[in-house]
Amino acid sequence: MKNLIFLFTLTIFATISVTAQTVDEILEEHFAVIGQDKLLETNTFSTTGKIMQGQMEIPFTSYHKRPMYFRSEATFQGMEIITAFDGEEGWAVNPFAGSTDPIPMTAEQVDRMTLQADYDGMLHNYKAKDYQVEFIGTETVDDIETYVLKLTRPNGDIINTYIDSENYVILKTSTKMKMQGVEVETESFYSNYKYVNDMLSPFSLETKRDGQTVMQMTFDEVKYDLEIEESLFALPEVTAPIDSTDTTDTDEVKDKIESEEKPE
Amino acid sequence: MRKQSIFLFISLIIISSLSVTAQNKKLKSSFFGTMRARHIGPAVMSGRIASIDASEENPLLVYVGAASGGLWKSTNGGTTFKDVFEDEVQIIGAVTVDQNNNDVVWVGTGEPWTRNSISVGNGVYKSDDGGEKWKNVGLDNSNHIAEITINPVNSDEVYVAALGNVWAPNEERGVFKTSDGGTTWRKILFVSETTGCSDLAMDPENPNVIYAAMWDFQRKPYTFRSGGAGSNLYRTTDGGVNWELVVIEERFDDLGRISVEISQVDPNIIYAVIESEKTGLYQSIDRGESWELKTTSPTVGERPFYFSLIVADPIDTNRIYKPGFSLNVSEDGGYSFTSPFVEGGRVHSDHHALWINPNDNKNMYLGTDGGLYITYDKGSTWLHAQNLPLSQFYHVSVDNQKPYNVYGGLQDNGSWVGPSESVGRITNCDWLNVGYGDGFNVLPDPKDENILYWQYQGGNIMRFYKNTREIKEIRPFSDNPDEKLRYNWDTPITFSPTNDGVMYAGAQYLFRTTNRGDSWEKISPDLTTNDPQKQKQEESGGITIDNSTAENHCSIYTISESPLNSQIIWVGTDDGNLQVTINDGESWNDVTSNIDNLPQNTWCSKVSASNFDMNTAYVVFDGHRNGDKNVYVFKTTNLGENWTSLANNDIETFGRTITEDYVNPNLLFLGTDYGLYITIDGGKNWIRFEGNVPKVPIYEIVVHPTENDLVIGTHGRGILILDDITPLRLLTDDVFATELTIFPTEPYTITNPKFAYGISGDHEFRGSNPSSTALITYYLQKRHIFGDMSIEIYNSDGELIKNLPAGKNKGINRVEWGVRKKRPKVKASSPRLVFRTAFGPTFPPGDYKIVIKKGENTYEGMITLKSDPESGHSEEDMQLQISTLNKSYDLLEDISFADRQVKDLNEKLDKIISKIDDGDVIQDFAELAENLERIHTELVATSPHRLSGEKQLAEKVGDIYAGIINYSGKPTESQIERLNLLEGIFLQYRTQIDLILTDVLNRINSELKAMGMDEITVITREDYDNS
Repeated sequence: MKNLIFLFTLTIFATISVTAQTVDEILEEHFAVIGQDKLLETNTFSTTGKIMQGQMEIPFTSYHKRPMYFRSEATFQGMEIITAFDGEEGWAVNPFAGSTDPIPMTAEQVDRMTLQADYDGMLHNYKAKDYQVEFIGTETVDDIETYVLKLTRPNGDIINTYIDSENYVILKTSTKMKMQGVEVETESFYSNYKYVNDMLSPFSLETKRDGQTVMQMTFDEVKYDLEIEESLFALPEVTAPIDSTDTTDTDEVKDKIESEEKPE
Repeated sequence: MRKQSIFLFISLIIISSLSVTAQNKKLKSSFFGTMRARHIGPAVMSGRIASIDASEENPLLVYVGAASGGLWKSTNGGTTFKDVFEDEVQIIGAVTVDQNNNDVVWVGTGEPWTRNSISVGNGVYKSDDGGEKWKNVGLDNSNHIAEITINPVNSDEVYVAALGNVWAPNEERGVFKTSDGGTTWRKILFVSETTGCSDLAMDPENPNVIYAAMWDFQRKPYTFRSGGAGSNLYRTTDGGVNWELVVIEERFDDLGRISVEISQVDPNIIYAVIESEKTGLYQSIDRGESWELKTTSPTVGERPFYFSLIVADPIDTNRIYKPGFSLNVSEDGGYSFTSPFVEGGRVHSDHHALWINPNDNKNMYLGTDGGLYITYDKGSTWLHAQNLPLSQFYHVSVDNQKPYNVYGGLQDNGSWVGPSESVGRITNCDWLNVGYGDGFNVLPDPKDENILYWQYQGGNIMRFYKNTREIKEIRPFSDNPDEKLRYNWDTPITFSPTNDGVMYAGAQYLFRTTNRGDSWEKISPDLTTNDPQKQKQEESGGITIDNSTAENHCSIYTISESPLNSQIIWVGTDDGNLQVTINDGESWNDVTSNIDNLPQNTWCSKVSASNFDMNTAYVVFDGHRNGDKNVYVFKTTNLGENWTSLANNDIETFGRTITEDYVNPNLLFLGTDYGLYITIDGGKNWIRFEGNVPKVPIYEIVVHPTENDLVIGTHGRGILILDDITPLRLLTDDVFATELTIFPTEPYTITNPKFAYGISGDHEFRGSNPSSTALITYYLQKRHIFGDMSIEIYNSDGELIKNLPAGKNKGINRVEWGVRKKRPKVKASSPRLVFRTAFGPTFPPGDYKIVIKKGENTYEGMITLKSDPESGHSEEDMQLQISTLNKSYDLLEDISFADRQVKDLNEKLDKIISKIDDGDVIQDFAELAENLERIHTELVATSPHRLSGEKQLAEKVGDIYAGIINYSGKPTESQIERLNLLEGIFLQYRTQIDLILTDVLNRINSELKAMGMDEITVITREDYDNS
C-alpha cells in the first residue's frame, strides 16, 4: 500500500514539476546545456555544409558576425546564390530568379533576415527583441517529452520551440508565418548535436511541410572567431563573373520534380 | 484473510500496470516511424458534404464539413483546400464560423442527414486559431449534430442542435447551450429519448428568440421511422429558459422532420418546412404569430430525413432556396419554385448545404452528395471543386497489372477504376467511371483485363466490358417466381481465391457462377434469420415512405472462401448469423452461438478465412446499427467451434473490416469507424496507425499480393495506400531490442523520369505516387539526437558512391536514395548545357552495400538495383545504352576539363603579359592567347543566354547525352555515330592542347625563367576534379 501511495505521490509531483516550469527556468537550463555563455564571448562564426532538396545537393557556407551581420553562399548548377544582410538592409544574388545582379530584399524578407541573423538565437534575450515567449505545456516529439515555448514576434509570426525535457536541447521548431499575406507553416527537426569549442550545435536539420520532408541541411563544420570583413555584407557594386565556374559535382536533380517539367 | 485480499488486489494493480507498460513498450504508434499512407483520391466525383460556413466579411474564407471526410478550409474561395481536422474524427455534422472573430470555429461531429450508411460523431469541437488546433468541448454522446448557432452579440453563448443516436434511444439529445464558450453545457430543451433537434434558427435582431425543430425518429438496420409524438417546432424568447410550442398546423397527429429559417434581412419573415402527411412550406410574416401554407409541392417534401433544409436569400426577402434532389428557388416567398439552373446545372443531385454570400447573393457554395459547387451567377452555372478528395468507398479491390489498378464503388457516385501510380501525379483524369447509382464491390475479372464487375444498390450486379462499355446484367433470380430474393443495399460479390473465374453472390442464399454470371447455382439454404418482422421495407420511412433498398434486411453481407480449401466457405449476414460449410455448400453450420459475449442480431460486417490455416477465420461484427459501438473482432482456429475475442480497449470505436497479411499471420489490419488499427502479435495489442490515415471510416482493406502494399478503402477520404508493408512483417521483439536494424528490401527497379503535363492550375486534386527512388528502410529504437548519424552507399568494388543524411525518427525510417551518379561537371555559364545535363546517369544494376554510421556504431545492409523487366529491352541493348551514356558523360567532363585548362593558361598569360617588355615574347604570348581563346570558344558556348542557339562541341555532346539518358534501350545509330564523330573532334583539340601544354608551355616557361619570372603551371585533372 505504501508503495502504491508512493507511486501516486511521484506521479503527482512529476505533474507539478512539469507545470511549475517557467520560461526562464527552461531557457536557463537550455542555455547552460548548449554553452550559450561561450557563444556570447564570440564575435563571428561560420558554417559549411549542404542543403538537400529531394535528390538535389547544394553546398553552402554561411557567415555570422555581431551585431547582426549574415551572409550565405550556396552553389547550385554551378551558379552561386548569395544572400546577405547587414542588420538593416539585405540583398541577394539569385541567378535562378533571372539575374546575376544583387537585388535588394523586400521589407518582408528583411524582417525574416533579422531572425536568421540573430547571432545569439531568437530565444536569448527575447524580451529586448520585443518577442513574447510563453511556456504552453509539454508535448511529445517521437515519444520524447518536450517543453513547448511559444514565441510571438510583433508581426504575428509564431515560432514554437520544443525543448527536450531531459537533455534541454531543441528537438523541433514549428513556425507559422505569413508570406505575401499567405500563411505558411513548417516544422524543423534538429539532430546530430555536437560540441565545438564547448558549444553544442545541431549538425543536422530536417524541414517538413504537411508531414513531408522538403529540405535537409547537414553541417560539416562550424568555426568561431574568424576574421570576417564587414564589406562582405554590403551591397556590392559589381557582380562577380561567373564564367569560370563549373557545375558542382554534387548537383543532382530530383526525378520527381524534373519529371513534371516540360523538356526544352 | 481480508488483509491478504487487499495485498492481492494491490499486487494485481501493480502487475497489471506493469504489464500494460510492457505491452505499451512493445507496441506504440511511434514504432511505425515515418511510414505514411499516400492519398490517391479520387476527387473527380468528391463526396457527400454535410455542412458549409464562410466568413460574411471575407467570403473567400470557407469551411466545408464532409459527411465522413473531415473539415476543409479554403482561404481563396475554393481554389485550394486544406484538411484542418486531420487528427480528429472525420464525421462532420455542422460547422459554424464565429462572425465576430473568424479564428473561432465550432464543429459538431456526426452527420445530420440520417441515411443508412451514416457514421457516428463524438461531440463538439472548437478551434480558437482558425482550425490549427481543436479541443473537444463536450457532448461526446450526442452522436449527430445538426446545427451550431452563435449569439452574434456574445460569442461565448452558443446553441447546439443535437440529433442524438440515430439507431437507439439516448439522453444526450435536444438543444444544448453554453454561456462560457464551451466550458460547460446545459441541456435547455429535451423532449424524449428518441427526439433530437434537427434545426435551429435565431432572430438576428434578438438573439434570445430561437426556434428549435424537434424531430422524433429512429433507424434500425431494417427500417426507418421519421416522425412521432416528439416532433414539433418550439420557440424561446429568453435564450432557452422557457420554450413554447409553435403550432403551425393542427390537422396532423404526428409531424416529422422540420426545417426552420428566419430571414436575415427581415426577421419578421420566418419559413418552416414541416414533414407531415402533406408536407408543406409555411411562411410567417409577423415573427411567428401567424403562418400561411405557401406550397405542398413535392419540391419541398422530398425525402425530409435527407433534405430537410430551407435557405432564405440574405438580400432578397422573396427569394428562398429549397435544396433537395436538386436545387430549387422561389422568387415569390415560397408560392412557386423553379430551378435556378438557367445556363448550366451540371450539378450532382442530393443537396444538403447551401451558403449564400450576404453581400453578394450571386455567390453561393452548395454541398451535395458529389461534393462542393460554387456559383457566381445566382445559381445559373456552377464550378465543381474537384480538389476535395472525399470519395466514400464501400469496397476496394486491386488487379495484378503494373502498376496495379484500384477498383471500388462509392456512395451515390457509381463505380470506378484508377491507377495506383501515374506519370507525374494521379489526377482526376486518371480515374475511369464504369458504373452508376451507388457503387459497391467492383471486381476485375481474373482472366480477362477487359472485363470487370460492378453493382448498384440492392443486388444489381453487372458485367462490364471496358473496350465497348457494354453492360450485361447478371444478377441471380429465384427459380420460384413468387419468391423475392433479399439483396442487401451493399450486396456481397467475391471471387474464389482457389478457382479463377468462380464468383459468389449473396442474397438470403449463397449463389455461385462459373461462367461470369450467365448462370448461377444456389449452394445454400436461407442462411439468415428470415425474420418476417424485419422484411417490411415497403413500410419504411415513417411519415414519408422511403423504400430505396437501403433497409433491405435478412440478407448475406459477407462471403469468404478459404484460400486453402475451396470446400470451406464462410458467410456472415446482416441480421447477425455466421455460417460455414466445409463440404462446398452441401451442409451449413450456424456457428453464431459459439461466440461468447456477442449480442444477438449483431450485423456481421466481415468474415475472412485465413491465408495460413484452413481451420482459422476472422470475423468482425458491427453493432452500431443497434446502437452498440463496442468492438467485436473474433478469431477461430477450429472452424467456428470456439472463438477468441481480439478486441480490447486500444480500439476507440466499432470495427467494420479485418484483413490478414499474406506473409505474417500475426500481422492483421482492422478498419474501424475511426481509422486503421494494426496488430503485429495476432491481435493481442492493437495500435492505431496515425501516419496520414485520419480517423475516417474504413470499409475494406486489401494487401496487394505481389506489391506488398496496403490498399485502404475509406468511406470519406478515398483510397489510401501504405506502400510496401514488408517492414511491418519484420517488427519482432528481436528487432525492438536492437538500437538499429536495417531491413532487407525488394530490389529497386531503375526507371527513367517521365514527362507529364502538370500545369492545370491549383484547383485539381493530385494524388501521390509511390516514391520514385530506392528506399533504405531501418528500425531505430530511439530518436537520434547526439553525435553523427549518416548513411553511406558502396558499390560492389567497395567504392563509396553516396553519402545520405539518415532518418533520425524513432521506429521505421525510410530514406530515399535517387540511385543516380553526380551530374556531369560542365561549364555553368552555358545555360543550354547545364539544362541538358541536369541528371547524372543511374548507377548500374547490381548489389550495393548500405552502411549506417550512428555514433561509434556501424550497421550494414544491402540493396539491389535491377533494370526494368517491363522495358522490353535486351540486356545487350541496355548495356549499350549504359556504355554510350557513360562515354558521353566522360566526354562532357573531358571537354570541360580541357576548356578549364585552356582558360587557366590564358588567364595566367594575361596576368604575365603586362609585366614583359620584350616585344617578340609579347607577340609570341599574344598569338598563343589568341589561339587559346579560339579553342575556348570552340569547345563551349560563350553566350550566357539560354535561347542564343549557340552550340559548340560541349553543347553538341550534351545534346547526345540528353538524347540517350531517358531511354534505357539501344541508342540510335545516328547518336552513336555522332558521339564517335564528336569524340574524334575532341581528341584533335586535346592533341592541340597537349601540344600547347607541353612543347609550347615548356618554351614559354624557359623564356619566363630566362627573364627571372615564375613558371606557369596549369590545373591538373586531379585538382580539377576536386575543385
